[in-house]
Amino acid sequence: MIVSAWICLLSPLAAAVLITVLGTRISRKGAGYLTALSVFVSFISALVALFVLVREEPEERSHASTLWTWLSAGEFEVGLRILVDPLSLLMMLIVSGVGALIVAYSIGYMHGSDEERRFFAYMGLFVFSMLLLVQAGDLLILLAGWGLVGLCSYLLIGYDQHRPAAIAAAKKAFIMNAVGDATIALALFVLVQQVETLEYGGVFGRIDEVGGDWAMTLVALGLLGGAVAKSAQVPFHTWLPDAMEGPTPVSALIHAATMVTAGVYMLVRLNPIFEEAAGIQDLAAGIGAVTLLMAGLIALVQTDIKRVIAYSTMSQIGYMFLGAGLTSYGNGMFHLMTHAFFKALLFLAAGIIIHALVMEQDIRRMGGLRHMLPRTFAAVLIGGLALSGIPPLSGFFSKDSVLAAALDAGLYGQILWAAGLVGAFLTALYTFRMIFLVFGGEPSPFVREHLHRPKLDEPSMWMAWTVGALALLAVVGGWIQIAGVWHPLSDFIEPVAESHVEPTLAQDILTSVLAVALGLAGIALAWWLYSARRRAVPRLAQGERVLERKLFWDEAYDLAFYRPATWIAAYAYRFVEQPLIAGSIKGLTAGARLLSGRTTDVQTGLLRTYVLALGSGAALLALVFLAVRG
Amino acid sequence: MTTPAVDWFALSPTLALLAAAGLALLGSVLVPHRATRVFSAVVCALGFVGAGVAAGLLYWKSPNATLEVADAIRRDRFGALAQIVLAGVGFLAVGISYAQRVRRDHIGEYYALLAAAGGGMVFLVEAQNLMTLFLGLEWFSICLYILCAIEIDRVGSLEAGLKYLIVGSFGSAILLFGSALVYGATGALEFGEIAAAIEQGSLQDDGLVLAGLAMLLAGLGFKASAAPFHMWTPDVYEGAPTPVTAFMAAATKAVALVLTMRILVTAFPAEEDLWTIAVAVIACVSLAWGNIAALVQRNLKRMLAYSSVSHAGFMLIAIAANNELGGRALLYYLIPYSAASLGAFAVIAARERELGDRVTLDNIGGMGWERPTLGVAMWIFMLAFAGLPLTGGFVGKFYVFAAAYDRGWWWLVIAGVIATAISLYYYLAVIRAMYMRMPAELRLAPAGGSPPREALLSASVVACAAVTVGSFFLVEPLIDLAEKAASQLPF
Amino acid sequence: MLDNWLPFLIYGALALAIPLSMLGMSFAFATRPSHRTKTRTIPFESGVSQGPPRLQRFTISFYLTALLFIVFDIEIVFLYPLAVVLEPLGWFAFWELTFFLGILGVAYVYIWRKGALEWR
Repeated sequence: MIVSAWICLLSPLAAAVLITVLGTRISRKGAGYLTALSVFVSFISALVALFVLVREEPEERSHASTLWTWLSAGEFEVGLRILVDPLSLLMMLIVSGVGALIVAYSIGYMHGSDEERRFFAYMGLFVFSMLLLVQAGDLLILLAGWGLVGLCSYLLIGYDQHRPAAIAAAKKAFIMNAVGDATIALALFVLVQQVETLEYGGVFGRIDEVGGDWAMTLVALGLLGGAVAKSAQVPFHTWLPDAMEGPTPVSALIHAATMVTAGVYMLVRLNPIFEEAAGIQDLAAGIGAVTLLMAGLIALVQTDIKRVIAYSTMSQIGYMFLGAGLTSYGNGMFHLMTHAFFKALLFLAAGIIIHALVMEQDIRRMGGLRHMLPRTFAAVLIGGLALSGIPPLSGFFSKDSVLAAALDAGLYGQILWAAGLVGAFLTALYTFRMIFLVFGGEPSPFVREHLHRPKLDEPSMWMAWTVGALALLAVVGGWIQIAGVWHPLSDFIEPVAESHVEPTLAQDILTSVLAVALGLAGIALAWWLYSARRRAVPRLAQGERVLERKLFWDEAYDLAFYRPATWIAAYAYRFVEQPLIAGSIKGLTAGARLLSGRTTDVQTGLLRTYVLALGSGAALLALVFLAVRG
Repeated sequence: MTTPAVDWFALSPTLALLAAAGLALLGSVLVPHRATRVFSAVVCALGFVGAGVAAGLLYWKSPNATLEVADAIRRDRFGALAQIVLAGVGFLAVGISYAQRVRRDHIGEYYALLAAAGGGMVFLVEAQNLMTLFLGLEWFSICLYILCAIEIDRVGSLEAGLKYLIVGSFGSAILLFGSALVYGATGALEFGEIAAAIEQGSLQDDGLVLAGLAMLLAGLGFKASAAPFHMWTPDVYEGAPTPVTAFMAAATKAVALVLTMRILVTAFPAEEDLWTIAVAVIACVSLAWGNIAALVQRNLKRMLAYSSVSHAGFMLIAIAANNELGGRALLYYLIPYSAASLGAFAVIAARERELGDRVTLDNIGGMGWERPTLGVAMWIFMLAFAGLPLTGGFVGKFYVFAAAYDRGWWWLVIAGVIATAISLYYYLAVIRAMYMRMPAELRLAPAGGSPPREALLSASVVACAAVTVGSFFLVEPLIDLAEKAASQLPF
Repeated sequence: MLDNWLPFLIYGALALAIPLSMLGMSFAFATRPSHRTKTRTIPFESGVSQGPPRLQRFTISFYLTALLFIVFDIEIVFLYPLAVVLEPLGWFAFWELTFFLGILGVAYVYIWRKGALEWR
């Protein structure tokens, strides 16, 4: 089983390395097939591992394996260590399964673009990094995976190097994530200093030995900082919408299904740490609630189809944070899984639309596509209904169980529960606003002019069947866990992360009824506003402008960090850099050059100089020795 | 009169290379001309492989250090590990040399001398008395003098050989004089007996011993090209055929430093307070001089020559620490350092053969794009020299600094760190030159069209790169080996 | 303490005295033209004009032969003392000698085949 876990981890890396090494010796399409195959191999290996694991006793379902130990100093060991347990296995399945579908989709989507090989090599590297993150056996490897996925995200957002917007977005994502990486690293320093190990079992076992609440709080806060940045939660969320500059499969894989959910994974994986610092855990839940409301509001006025879905992703991850923060780990992971299905579906379907409309992404220029792209319409409809939590699609089961758990978690939980319900309404509203604007009404002039229906050639087929598969998953994916009836997924996760909230059947039913009702209300309002009256955006006058500026987050960052930083930098440049640093650097380089010149002067090329240096060196040494001891 | 018992096993690495040298020499006159190159190269490579295997067995079978052959050599893991490194260096040097344009009637001699030099080196690292010390030193030095001058049609090569010969003789003379003084004062040749004699006779303040120690240090510092005894290094490295330079830079330095540590630790523990400071000062001078002089070099071979001076400084820090950690650090450091310097000179050799001219920062431009494998390998070597992570150079420097810190000499650590910072400038300059300039800027057309790519050279470079990177990832087992070896020295 | 330094002093004094006396004598006794002539500018004034190089030429073969003679002569020098103490040293000495002669043999074959033994 451990072997299959290693295969799962290393197979995408092998593909990435192979493509890099082969260079032009592999065809563009070959690179795509190779990567897709390698990720599929990962998925099969993960399945094999699953079948072995479920036949074991629940308490024994945890296997660590170290490929090699790099350095060991006392108990602190650095090495490539992986851990296979129910939690990591669930993530492996999601990452490799959804990943395989999305990479297969990319074969069609990226067909004909420049540098396909580079794209697929990056994709392979990303899947490896993500698997490394979830399979990590200690916090250091987790951080390594964390950094690597950030790197891949950077590379893939900026894949189209010729567009300045893509480069800027890539930089923004990287910098924001680097802040998160740094806070994790700081947390790990404190942790090593306190418990002298970073291995999960060792850390969790010695969590009681940590001296002082402050240390625990600091560790949890640092880790949360990383989680918030990676998962695009308030206040580190502004990079995600910009990240939509990347190719659509990248948005689907990295910025919807897998990487951005890493923060949730961390909250669940490191639950003993967060439970020890309960204030921070509550903070995580609160951040989730704030994000889901805020992102839902902003999504209402977005005009770029991918950005709408991106804000929706932020909002849905808010739900997961809410669940994981309130210790309802199983439900949080459940929502993570279903979200991966329906959000990847929405992105990939959006990709088909964008493809059909010659890369146009503005929903105001779309319309009436339901007749022209009927299958895509069906896919988006399934995704949208699942997202809005309408039964019996997957989103209904997972979102409602997260909310029901919140209802059980005291007063704080009930406040968050209310926020979550409002969020459900907003979700339905913005989702169906998008659907009605894109598919409803009469075809717009732009659509009439530019639409070219996908031909039934091979690239399109790759895109079609993967979307179909994801649509199927978005429908049935939620049936694995039905609140109050059966919950194998939560039971599976139980040994790793034990949930502390257990909603009653009444709470479940109350939540579901309210959520579905609100969802339907949202759809109805969307129909009334955007389909019946066909308005692009709701007329909310002042509020609308605020929302269009995304609640001024970018401006706030500009004011809080960029302006002062440039101001300080300008002054530092004038009063510190110029006279002190530049002066001294100039002096230093001049001095070094001068010295360097002197050394070459000494190097005369004449034997007598060399022998003189050798002889006088020896004589000097002897004289000094004699003088010291004499 | 009793005759000494000869431990043939302890001598087996030397004998393997000696046999290879003899065979290659005979091959150069008895084998048909067409086959001379293949025959002698293969024999030489086999000699190094044999020496490596024998040294490996020696390491394995020597859990306790013993004195052998009338106390002339010491059979221990410290020497055996150094022998393994030397055998690897020699083996790869054969691969780098293979396509070098050596005159046909010198080709057999070339490999014979290479094997003979290797034989002298693996003999020397086992040396345990002043006689074997001098014998081994001259043995490999004489071979190297000729190897430097073997391209007799090229003035530079002749000049290098002659300079090395004359300055080298002077260095050997100083070493020999130092040995004589030490022998005169203590009446002992074997290192352990010297230590005992100094101890018993209270000769710590004896003028002869002190002067002898200083001269021994100078003589060994000369071979290790530590400043200020390094003056020959840039000229000889530049003039000698590049594969020979590669071999010298990696192997000679390794031998000299390993032996310096052995003799100082075993023969002069009583003078510890003196020589640790002296070695530390020599290390600082080497670091400063090597790095500063390298800054303005345009010629890559000269630059790497100065860089090798600075690396002698780093390794001398490990010796100055005079503790077991230092021994570990030295033995470990040799592995990535040897691989990186062999590889870097091999890349230069490849470029040299392409251009038919000396390689400078200007005409290496674009090489990273033209020859991606060599370009990536050069990246790795430069990063290893600079001591950046993902290469063994990082771990090596880390251990060297740890050893100095362990002794409480944080000032030495600071000196090392500053030197590392300076060195980044010129190491990165090489990478920048290889990639940042477009091939269009290349002013020199390749001589006579692009020569065929040499599989053996590329394979050697890849092997060097693999060792450089691999030593980073396999720290644990390698340090373990070095620890077992260093623990056999009487720190 | 002084015992240790004495040999050094004597050695150092001699090392200084010999070249200094040579320089001093040439300075004191040589008759030199007062103006700078070509002869005066040569590095060491022995008083004898260097003169033009001799026209006589030697073939390089003489040097080679001389070198070969020295090499083989030295081997013979090694053989004599060993023969004297062969009895007490026994087989060990015999094998040492054989080993030595083996190396010599390799060298002999090499120079023979290289053509160094032929007069050219």
